[in-house]
Amino acid sequence: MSKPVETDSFLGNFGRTFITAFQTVGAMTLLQLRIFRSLLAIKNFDYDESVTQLFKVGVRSLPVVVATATFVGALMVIASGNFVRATGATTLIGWAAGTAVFSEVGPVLIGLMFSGRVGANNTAELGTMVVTNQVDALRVLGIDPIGYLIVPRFIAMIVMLFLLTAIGDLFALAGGSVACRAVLGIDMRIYWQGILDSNLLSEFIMGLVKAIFFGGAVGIVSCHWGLQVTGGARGVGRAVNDSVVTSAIAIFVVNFFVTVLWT
Amino acid sequence: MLQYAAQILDASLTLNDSLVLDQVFLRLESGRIHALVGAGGSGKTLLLRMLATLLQPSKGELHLFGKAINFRDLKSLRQVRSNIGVQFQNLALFDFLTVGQNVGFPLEQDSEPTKDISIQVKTALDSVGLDGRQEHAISALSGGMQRRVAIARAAVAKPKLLLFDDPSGGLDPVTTSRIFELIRTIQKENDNTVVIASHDIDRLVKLCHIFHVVDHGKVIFSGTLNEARQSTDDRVKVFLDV
Repeated sequence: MSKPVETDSFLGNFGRTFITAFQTVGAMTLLQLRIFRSLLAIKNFDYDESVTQLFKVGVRSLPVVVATATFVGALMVIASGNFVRATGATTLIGWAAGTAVFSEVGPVLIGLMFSGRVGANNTAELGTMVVTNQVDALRVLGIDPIGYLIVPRFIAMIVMLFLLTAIGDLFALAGGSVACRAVLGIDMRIYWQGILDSNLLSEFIMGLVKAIFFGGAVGIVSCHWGLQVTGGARGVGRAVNDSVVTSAIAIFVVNFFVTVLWT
Repeated sequence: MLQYAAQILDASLTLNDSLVLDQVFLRLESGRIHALVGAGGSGKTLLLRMLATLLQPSKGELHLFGKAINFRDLKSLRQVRSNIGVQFQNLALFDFLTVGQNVGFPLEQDSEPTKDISIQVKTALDSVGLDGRQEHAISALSGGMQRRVAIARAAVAKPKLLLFDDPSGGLDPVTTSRIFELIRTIQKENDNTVVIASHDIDRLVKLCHIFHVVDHGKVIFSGTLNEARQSTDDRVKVFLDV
């Protein structure tokens, strides 16, 4: 990428930030296209590496996702406690928790936790490989780094964030039911009946669709920053920081568009 | 007629708005051991990376094994790369693979049968004095051992062109001597074209046939040691200590 002109003026700095942002989005788009091209060339696909990534990305993230989701679910119920007490709308507590968890809070918070754990780790791993010339070694050995390193990670992140969100949603509801009884003193059966009566299938599916796009976004962002690393260990640190921040922004942007298109 | 394994023809390279290689002419005779010498930062590693097809010249041409390299033709690039072995300056060993997997990696890309790979890996590790360490993690080895693994990986598939970037960096004299002997043996057995970038002039003088002196991104001399002695460029005499 060419460097924007150095300047001290506000307008110049704003313009430089704008240009850099568009360069980054453009580079990520090109990476996405290269991933799709690699996916179409099935013979380059490394199944063993994909399975390894599925385990690293998914199974190892399960404890933190379960913990996050359980407490988030509980928090949703507690936060609505005052409203429920004031209005006596105890039968709505299941619907309120389920809607919030399935459609927004579950996928977004799990996505953010995922990007902070998996995305950051991915950027660090790839960045270290770049600065130690391991990616160059792959090229010299005739291996396309995109097919060997990036595609398995990209697929693993989409698949696993989808599954983790589904599992996380259930634990969030479970956390909510415990909070419902322990904090608000409302019978759990009322809570669960409220969820079942509300027909939240559309919200649940929307949340999973969001998870798919979030997984793709975290995959692209983390891989892009990892492959762009320069400047040794400090560069890797900067890339990890950029990866986490950009992933978070991407999650919010994608969340907005999916919600608008779905509703 | 001389056969050239590689030729860099009037190549210049600009990186981050800096001209780092300037109108370079470099011809590597097949079947010879070439030395690439020069001060730190003179462009030796960049030249090796260009020969490895990792860097495309901003101007000029790269020819390998008689053909001009088209960097857009990925299929032919992969084919050319299968004939190149590289030992990187920082080794570039895959830390997610064992020693044996690292050395066998080039053979797997050539789709060799698993049994043959095991035998060749064992032979390669034996030749560098590391037989029996196939299952070891890279991080469990000393720097010298890792360097030997990198050399084994570069040479195992018997590539036509072997590139060594500082093969003895930071090693003790005994290990250094062993490594240079190893390179001599590999070249003798396989008749590959070898390029060594190193500051170890004493050992290069004993091992190499042809010397290329690099200074500030230019190749200022290419020839034998005798020709270097007759050179009127003081820099050549200084770098080659003649």
